[in-house]
Formats: sequence, structure tokens, C-alpha cells
Amino acid sequence: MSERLIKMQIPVILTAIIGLLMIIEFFFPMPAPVTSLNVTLRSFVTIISAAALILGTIVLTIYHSKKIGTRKSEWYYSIVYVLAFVFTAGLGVLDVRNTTFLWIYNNMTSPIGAALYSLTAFYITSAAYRVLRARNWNSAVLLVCALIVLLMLIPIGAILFPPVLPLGTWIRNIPSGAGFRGMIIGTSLGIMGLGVRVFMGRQKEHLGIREERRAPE
Amino acid sequence: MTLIVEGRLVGLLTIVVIAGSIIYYMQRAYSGKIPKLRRLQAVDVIEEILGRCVEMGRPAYYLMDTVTMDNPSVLAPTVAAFQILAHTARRAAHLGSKFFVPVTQGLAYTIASEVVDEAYRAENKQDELKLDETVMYLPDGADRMYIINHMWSDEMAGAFFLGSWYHKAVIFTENAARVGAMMLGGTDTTHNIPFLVAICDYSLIGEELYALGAYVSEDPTVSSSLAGQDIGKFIAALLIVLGSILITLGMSIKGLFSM
Amino acid sequence: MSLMDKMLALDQRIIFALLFIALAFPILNPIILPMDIQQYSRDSFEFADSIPAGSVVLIEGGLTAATFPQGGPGLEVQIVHMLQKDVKLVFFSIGTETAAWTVIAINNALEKLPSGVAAENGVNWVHLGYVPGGESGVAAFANDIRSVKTEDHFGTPIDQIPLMKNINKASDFAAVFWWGGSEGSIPFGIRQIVTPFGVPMTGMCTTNEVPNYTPYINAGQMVGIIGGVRGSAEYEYLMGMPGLALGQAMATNFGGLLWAFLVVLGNVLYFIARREEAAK
Repeated sequence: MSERLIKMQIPVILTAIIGLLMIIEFFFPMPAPVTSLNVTLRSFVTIISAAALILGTIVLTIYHSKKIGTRKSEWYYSIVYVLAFVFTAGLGVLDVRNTTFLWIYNNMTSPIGAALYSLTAFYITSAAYRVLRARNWNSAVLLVCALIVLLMLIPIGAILFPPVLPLGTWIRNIPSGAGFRGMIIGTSLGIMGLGVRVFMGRQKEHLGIREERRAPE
Repeated sequence: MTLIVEGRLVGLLTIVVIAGSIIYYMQRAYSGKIPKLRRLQAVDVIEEILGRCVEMGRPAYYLMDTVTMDNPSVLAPTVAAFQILAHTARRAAHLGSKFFVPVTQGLAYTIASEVVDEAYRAENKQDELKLDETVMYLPDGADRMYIINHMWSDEMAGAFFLGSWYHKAVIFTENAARVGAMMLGGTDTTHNIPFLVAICDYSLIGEELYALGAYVSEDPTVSSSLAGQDIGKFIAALLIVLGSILITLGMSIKGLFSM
Repeated sequence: MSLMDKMLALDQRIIFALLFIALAFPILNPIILPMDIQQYSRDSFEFADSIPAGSVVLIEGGLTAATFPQGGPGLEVQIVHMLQKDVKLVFFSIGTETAAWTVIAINNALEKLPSGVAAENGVNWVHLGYVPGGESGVAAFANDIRSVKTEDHFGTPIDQIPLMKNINKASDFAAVFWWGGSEGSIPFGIRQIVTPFGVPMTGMCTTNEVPNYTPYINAGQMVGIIGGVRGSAEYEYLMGMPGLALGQAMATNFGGLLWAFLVVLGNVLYFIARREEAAK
């Protein structure tokens, strides 16, 4: 089999067939074998995402192992990664319901994840201080709307400044709602366009392929 | 047994009409009738940012945030981001700009590596590319601190925030702004578009991300598909106006869309 | 660099430190301030409250480690609310991590239940677990649950679960509660369950996502929404069960007021600097 057939044509054909199967199932009543096939295909997603996770872990472990081996800058942090990975993965492989493994997940991984998510609040405040300045009429309107909606959202805001409640509700429901409607419609059309191009095999970047025209030597 | 599942006729017609118009314009392009499209400013912005990075001798960062390609709502903007990455990487290779692409998923990492490698090969600059330093896999969670620290230590001059952006949008863009980088941002996650618009120097709103992906493909049949999408926009605008008039006149059209 | 310039380009670490103090102090020393209930939260609560006893409700548990602090307390209180009303609950999730966090929410809710309230797994509630495939998975689930799930999250065959005896598609449910967190998956429920089957729905999302769903609420496709930690706090308040969310929401008062103060300060300094420059 030629490389072009394997790398390009087969994946494109598979993408189109499976995508169309899903779309057809949504609109037309399908016989049980087709529905059952689609259920199986959807369950493949779980398997492939697990494989992708393993792939990423292998890539990362190789990268850090090389870093330790060649003593690149900050290689000692790579030792921390390798030890943590071996210990946690080892516990998980032995028994995923192991108490220590679950303790690590509940008391280290989850709180760290929540803490990193909470960084958003700090950066939003920093960004607001720097960006929300009435440099012109547009930014003045943005500033006033942002302040009104913020005061509406904090529990005590409407108690301190009662007008923010009807004003903020109006801003959220009418102009903001209209803007979001437009964005949702536009995004949906963009996704449809992308889907048609991918199904027709006209864009293959998701396969890591782009048929580049070579620059002259 | 009904021919079409109840309540989905209007949806089916919509897909047929819009997909049909996209395919129609693509077929017209095959026969040389290419629609006139306005130049997307973002194409020039990519050049501007990379040019700035070359002048200052500092790297450009290309960040895509969530790239879990097994999630259907993330897949579409991620594919668009790869399309733009292919173009940006090729321009970076051509101009000689340092480039950094951190990726948080294994599958996306392999795709990004191939895209960047192919881009440098197309410019005959594969010798200048250190792939494992240019495209890096960072587990989700660890990426935040690594990228923030390196933004400061590298003093990056330009950044691209394109793809499916969630809460990290504000973290990275604000940090990049403080470092002094010139930024292009674009996502289709509607609630994060305001952050990118407010903080980035240039932004792509919603479907402009997909439009840019098609536009930079260097294939006129692909960029012609944007004309088909615009048909969808005209239909949507017409329905909005029509629906507003009918509802104002007290005529409910809800039943029509539940066919 | 003059003092004015330094203030205008205030080091973000100073902003971070001020915000940390503003948020940490009320969390460590809870201060209960008056709170107005948002209309969206009230609508969502009243919708849940109107569900008749004996009905079966579908709940999508979409909270992760990052969003559980915001939505977890609200979900737990809603589970208590429904079980107290003798409403049966069928849980499912569209992510593997979210399926695990739904179990945590159920267990926490069961601990909060007053004694005497029936809460037997398989009779009063069931967790069907992870449904793969994103929106197409939800579509298949809504049309025929048994085509997608053959057993619940804990491995019990679905046909052996008493609660699932007459339940196999979306129209068998009285309502849907979609605790989407930051999944962005609420439109899945609207498109695949509300629109085709006419099942009413409310949901939860993070605060910044609420404007995303305003169009659906205005169009009547959703009944209110619980927005972030404040929405969860309001649910706790309306249920008379003050908890973690209420404490966090009180802290957001101080964080929000600091935010507003910094924005106003930045603008005042900006205008002063502009005037000084114009005077030169």
C-alpha cells in the first residue's frame, strides 16, 4: 500500500464515513445494527483518549529522562517528576482503588487543580486594573457596563446600589444576549464549514498533514 | 415508521442548504470561478507579530489551550488552530523567528510536531529546527506555571492564542501583556471571547478563527467555502428579522421549528 | 519612572496580594452579609421545587476538581432537596472525571440528608456513570438509554435496577438538571433533550458562562440557571442549608469590591495623568 493511501486517503475516507454515520443516525430512524455500530464507535473514543493519555505520558517521561541524562538546566526538577510518576503510576497499576493512590488524588491532585483554576481570579483583577480605562467612548461604555454587571453579581452589590440590579439585568439579557446569539450562530456556521472541508478531505491538518508547496532551494 | 426523526426536519434542511452552498462554492472554485473575499487582517497581523519577534530576537509563543481532541466541542477549534499553526510555523521558518508551541495532550502533540516539522521542511529550514524544544508536551496543570515563568524569562515578543480557550485565556494573555508581547487571540468559546478581545492587541471573534484557518490554506477551493458559510449568515439574518416581525405581530413560530 | 507611572503600571504581585487578603480573610473569618437572590437562581429553585413527588428527574453531573468548589455544594443541596420531596434521581456524566466527582457529590448529599428520608441506590437514585461520545452520545442516550448504557457506574446491570424499570428515553423524565460546570455542555441538553422531547431543563454553570446561556433562557429553552458559587449559595440559602458555597459567596463580596475599587482607582489616576500631560 502506498504511503499516500495509508497516511492520507484512508484516514480521510474513515473520517467522512464515520462522521456521516453519526449525522445520519441523528436525523433518520436507523435499524438496530447501525445504532449498535455507532454505540461501538462512540465507545472507541474512550479507548483512544486513554491511549492518547498514555502516549503523552510516555513522551513526557522520555523528555525528562533525557534531561536527567544530559544534565540540562533545572534537571533536578525532572527527578521529582520521574519519582512522582513512578510512585503514583505504580500504585494505580497495582490497584486503582488503593487508599494511598486515592489519598494522593483527593489531597494533592484535586486541590492543586482547583488552586490553579483559581489563578483566574487574580489575573482577571490584574487585567481589569490595566485594561478597563476610559481611553475613548467605546472603552468608557465597556467600563461602565463592567462595573454595573460586577456589582449586580456580587451578593451585596444590589443591596449597596439598588439600581445595578435592573440595569445589570438589562445589560445581560438584551445587548449581551444579542451579542452572544450572534457569536453562537457564527461559530456554528464556522464549524459546519470546517466539517464539510474535513469530510471532503480538503483540509488535512488534523492528521498532521499539510501539502506544502516547497520553497525554491 | 417516519422517514425523519420527529422534531429534526428543520435542522436537516438547514444542514442540507448550508452544506450544499459550501460545496457549491467549492465546486465553482474548481472551475476557476473564485469568489472575491476581503483580506483577513489577521494574516497581516501574523506577519507583523513574527516580524517583531525577529527584530527583537525574542521568541513567539503559539498557544492552543485545551486540545483534548476526543472532545467534539474542542475538536473543531483545535483543527482550525492546527491549520493556522501550519501557516504561522512556515512564516516563522521563512522569517527566522524563534517559535515555541506547548501542547497539553499527547495526540495533539504528535500532530503539532508533524505540522511544524512539515512547515520547516517546506522552507528548507529543517536544520534550524530543534523540534523537541519548539514543540513541547506539558501536562495540563503543569503548563500554566511553566509557560508563565518562561514568558518572563524568554521575554517573548509575540504570542498567538488560538484554539479552544477556557479559563487559561485570561491567565496567559494578561501575563503576556505584562511581558510586553504583541498578541493575536481567537477562540470559539463565546464566554472567553471578551477576555481575548479586551486584552489582546488583535483578536478573532468566533467564526473568524475558522475563516482564518481556511484562508491561510493557500487553496482557493478551501477559502471559497467561506462564501458558502456567508449564505448561512444571510439566511440566519433573514430568519431573525422575519421572526422578530412575526412575533411582534403576535404570531408564534415555535411550532414551525419543532417539525 | 514617576509615582504616577508606577501606580498606573502597578506590579501585578501587589494586586494579587491585596486580592488574596480580601478573599482569605472572610473565608477564614466568615462574615454573613445581606444577599439578594438573583432571578435566574430563584427561577431554577422554584422549577426544582415544583417537581411533583414520585417523578423521575435526570441530572447531568459535569463538575470536575476545578469546578466542584463552585457547584458541588449547590448540587449536594439540590440532591437533598429532591430526595426530601421523594423525587427519584437518575445521574449520568459525559466525562470520566465528572462521573467520579458526581459520586462524591451524591455521597456528601446523603450524609446531609435528615434521617428518615429514603435514599436507596437503585430505588431512589441511580448513577449511570460515563456516557461517551459528547453530544452524539447524549443524543443516543436520550433516544434509547439501554443502547448506550447496559450497567450503572458501579457495575449493576441496568435491567436489575428497580428505578430504571420504565425509564429508557428522555421523555420518561419529568425534568433535566444539567450541572455542566465549565464543560460548556448545557447546549447538548437543550439540543438533544429539550428541543426534540420537550423535557424542561435548568442547569448550573460557572459565573463567567452565564451570559452564554442567556439566549436559551430568554427563548424559554431553559428555566433559570445556577450561576457559579453565588448560584450555589443562593440555592443553599433558599433551602435553609447554609454551607460552603455561602461562605465562598460572602468572600466574593470583598473580592468584587476590591476589584471595583482598583478599576475606579486606575481610571482616576489615568485621568489625572492625562490632565498633567495636557497641562505640560
